[in-house]
Amino acid sequence: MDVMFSPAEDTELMRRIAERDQQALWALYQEYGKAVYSLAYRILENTVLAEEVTQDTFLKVWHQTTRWDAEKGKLKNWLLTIAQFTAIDRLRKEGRQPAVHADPIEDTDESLLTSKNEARWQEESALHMLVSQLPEQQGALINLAFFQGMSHGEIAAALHMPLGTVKTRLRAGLHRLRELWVESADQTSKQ
Amino acid sequence: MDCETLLELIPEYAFGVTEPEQSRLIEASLPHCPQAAALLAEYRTLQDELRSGVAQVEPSPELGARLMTAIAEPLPFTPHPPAPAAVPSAEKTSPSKARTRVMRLAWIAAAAAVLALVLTNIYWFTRVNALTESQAQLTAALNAQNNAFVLTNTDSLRWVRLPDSQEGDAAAFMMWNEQSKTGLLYARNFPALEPGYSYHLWLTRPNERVFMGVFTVDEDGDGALLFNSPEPIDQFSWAWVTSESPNDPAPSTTNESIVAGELDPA
Repeated sequence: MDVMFSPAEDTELMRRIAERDQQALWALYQEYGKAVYSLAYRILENTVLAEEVTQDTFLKVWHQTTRWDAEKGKLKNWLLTIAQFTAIDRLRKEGRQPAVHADPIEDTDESLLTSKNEARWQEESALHMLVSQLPEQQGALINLAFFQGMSHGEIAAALHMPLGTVKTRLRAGLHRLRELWVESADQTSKQ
Repeated sequence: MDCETLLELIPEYAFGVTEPEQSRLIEASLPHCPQAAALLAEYRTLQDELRSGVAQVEPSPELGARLMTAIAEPLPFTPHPPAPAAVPSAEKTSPSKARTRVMRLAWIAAAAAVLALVLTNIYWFTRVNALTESQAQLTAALNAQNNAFVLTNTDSLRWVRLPDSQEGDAAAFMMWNEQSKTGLLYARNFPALEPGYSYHLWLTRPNERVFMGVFTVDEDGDGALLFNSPEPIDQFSWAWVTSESPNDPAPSTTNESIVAGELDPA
């Protein structure tokens, strides 16, 4: 399990990076590099591209092209947000299509999943399990919107699904996911 | 955009699938609907968990080294002319010709090294430019996280209860993060407002009274206000809410407070 720096340690680390302390960037990479790479790989499904995106993410931090505001959230979340957008941007530039099966809407959820093996799904968090258990392909739509950065129209085109159906199911899926997530958190807090 | 419609669109806005014009309307309406701001903050937290909850995969051991190489300062270039070529004993070459050959080889080697350095610099210049080009999109996306996101950080959350000043049932709860300038006020059982009137939140400290914002309540007397203070909220000592008329030339505190309390963190 990752042991995260405290907020004070994160702040100190970023202060040193702003002062061009290379050791600080190395420490940042050692702490969060795996998480950044894992997210990039999840999106790109390609080790070379994922490594380039990981490197780009930390280079953005080093060159201060974006700045972290401790008041707006944790450093890890900020890094992963940069990684996500950078990976999606790379996905588009590569002109790569996500691993989506363009099956009719009557098909089951399994036909819309990517080619990931079951082991990977099991390694992902409980929240990801909730996503995979949503009905009517809602989970697949959420994954396409979030991890592939696809718009309603792009999802509809990729899945040969009516635009209205995509909008309705995605909205329902997001509402339901939040409900399940809140329920899960409540149950966890009561244990 | 009314609050009800805004609440319906928040999930799709959070996941970046709303149309640009819709997104602009949502962003313009968020400050007037604290419930939507709070819901957006929940979805941001959910997204954080989606990002960090992916299956963890170890990158190659060389990735870290490549990263550090990319940020390392370039070494000063020092051309090293190659060693003179061995001259067969059967041949005799004049010293001037040998020197010329050595100089020519040295210039060729130097030119090759300079070319390699220039190409490397062009490559990294192009990469940095590409990274900079994506900065605008990323900055815009990050700036879309509004002030409500602050309150998802519960590590230093502070809150106080402001009781009814008239010994009634009204109460308000105010929450903020330590050292933060952003706070959330949640009002309960407030009296119904006369037409055109609104509730005003004030924060005070010795010799200073600062107006924080305006809100209304629904038919149950419940309302909320997400506000920004010019100074960290910790620097104020009292909070109070008054009912004000829109005809006042400037917000005042001549009216009696509805709720008031000391900002002594719980």
